[in-house]
Amino acid sequence: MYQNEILLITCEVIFILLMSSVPVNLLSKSKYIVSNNLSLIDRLLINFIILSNILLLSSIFNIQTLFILLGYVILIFYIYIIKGSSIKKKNEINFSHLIIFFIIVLISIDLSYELFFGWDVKWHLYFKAFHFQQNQSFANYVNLPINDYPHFGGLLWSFFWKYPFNNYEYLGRISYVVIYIFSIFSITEILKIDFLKSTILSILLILITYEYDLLSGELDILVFSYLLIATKFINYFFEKKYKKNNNLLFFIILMIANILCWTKNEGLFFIIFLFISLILTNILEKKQIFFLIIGLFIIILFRYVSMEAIGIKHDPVHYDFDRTLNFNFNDFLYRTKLIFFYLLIYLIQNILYLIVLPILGYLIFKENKDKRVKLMTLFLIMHFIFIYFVYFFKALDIEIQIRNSMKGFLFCTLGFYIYALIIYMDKKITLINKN
Amino acid sequence: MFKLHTPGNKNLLSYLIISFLILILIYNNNLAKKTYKILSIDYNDRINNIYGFCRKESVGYLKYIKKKYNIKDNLKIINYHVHAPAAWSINNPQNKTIDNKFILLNYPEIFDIKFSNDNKGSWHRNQNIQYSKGINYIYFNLNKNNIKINGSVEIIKKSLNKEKIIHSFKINQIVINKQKIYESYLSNDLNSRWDPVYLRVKLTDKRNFKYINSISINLKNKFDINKFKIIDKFESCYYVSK
Repeated sequence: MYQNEILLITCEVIFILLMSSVPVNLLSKSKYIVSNNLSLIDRLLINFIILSNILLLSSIFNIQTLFILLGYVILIFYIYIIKGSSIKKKNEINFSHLIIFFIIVLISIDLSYELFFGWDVKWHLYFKAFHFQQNQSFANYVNLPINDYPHFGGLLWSFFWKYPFNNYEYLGRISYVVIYIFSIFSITEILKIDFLKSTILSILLILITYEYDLLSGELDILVFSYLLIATKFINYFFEKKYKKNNNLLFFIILMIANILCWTKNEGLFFIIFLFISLILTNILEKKQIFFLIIGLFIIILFRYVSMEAIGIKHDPVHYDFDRTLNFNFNDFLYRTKLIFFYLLIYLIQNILYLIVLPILGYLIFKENKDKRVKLMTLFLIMHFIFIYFVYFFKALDIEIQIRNSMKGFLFCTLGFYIYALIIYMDKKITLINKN
Repeated sequence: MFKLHTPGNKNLLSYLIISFLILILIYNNNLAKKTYKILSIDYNDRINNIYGFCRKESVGYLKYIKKKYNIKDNLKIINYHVHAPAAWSINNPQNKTIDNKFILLNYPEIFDIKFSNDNKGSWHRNQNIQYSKGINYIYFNLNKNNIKINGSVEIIKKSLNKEKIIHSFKINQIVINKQKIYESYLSNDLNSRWDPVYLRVKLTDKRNFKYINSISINLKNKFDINKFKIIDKFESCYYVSK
């Protein structure tokens, strides 16, 4: 039967946006979260983070996604239809926001045409999405290939694949587009400029970073986006308006940590680095540091216990310690040389890294008293040490491993380094405004 | 329900820049053409165009077989070209796998691997080797009718920067272009996706190298099609049973 796929794509985008519009009502001004003037994109993102966590928990506790959908439908119906008249005065959507919608549809069109999957997607990630799309239980997850790999990416894909149309698989991947676009629009909001100007910067960032490979089902785009969102919310700690003892902000950041923990193993490390950097910048009180560490500990423990409960154990084949540790000094030099060579190559190949790393270098030397710069410096050090060790201890041929994965690996954290560009521009804008 | 704030004249320049950038996004990604293709080409045909019907991953053939023979359980898929597994397109990990039937994709009628000289002493293969169980014969692709070859050929596998000679043999004869030199060797060692497999050829008369364009090895096939019952065939794709 012929179906107008462009119409399906548009409806899917509207559906995802509608699901992201509750429970923090996008139409009302929030008076209880983080900052008094929380933007529309912030509220959509918080909702998306909440939905992501609900999906995660429901998958682990085997709650049917249909119930989640029904819950959301009731909530949406209540907020927009029953309470609609009382919040009518607050219903303000700027015309400019339609630009975001339009860009999401455009990228989704590209996705629906290209369609192909990345290597890991064909190998095991598609099966994870298919598993949940088929209403399979978390206990049956052990039957999947590479079952010790976290499943959030497949879960998100499966939910929007199944609802509302349960049709083409790529409709599920549109959720990746939405989170990617939102994360970029979100980070540019840090700049105190009007929405249209930040939109220009956002589109430029999309033009530089976007390529279809990101949407091929691989999870790098999710790590990139959620890390970018975490950075945006962490930035609130450095703002003058930031209300101390705002536990909700910590809760949002921990929810993002939970998502990253279930998206990719690297994601967990990146969020740990971010937390360590944040703690070492000395802007948090002891109570808050305690809250952050305990929260992260619970998240990691929960993942470990959940996987243990269904009998999943990390496959030692991935580590192959005999081969990994069996090397002499020549190997040490060989591996080190390869890692630095390819690291340089892949950093140069990525235009945005070419822009943001020199800017970060400039900030480290010129603006080292800024705590945001300190945060970035600490993350940078941990990140590059991590890259070195990850590739140094690869069991298979290291060169092939690097060539297959380093590009995506670097892309995951690119989101965080965009923050350097934002800090730099923020300083310049402040300087211009002063003059 | 929504009150829409429409743009004012003071932001005209910003809107113009945004429009221009969106046009670049559309142009860079060929979105106009892609929109037309999405509207005019069916999803399944687009999938066939991407993964091939009986080439590359051959997803088209896999889906065709599954539909034609109404297969409910999982099929084992053997693809002679190196691609990510295509099982995702027809299999469900929760189902059981059929033991006695399987699919062979990109099956080579003649299982040859060609090695070319890198002029640094090694000869590198033109494709990865999978599903071989040894060597039948080798032959030299010469740029003259015949040459006298006196030397040895080593087959080397490199893993973690360490070389391992997996097989070697000597030749001392006049070799005619494409003449089969039988060298019986049974092993799975030649199969390799990740570790490079290459030849090192040593000749007493090094001038002879210039007459050798390439060296080909004919491999023993792990899955001999003649030993199976062919249920369905399309070009180099087979659905067979034991």
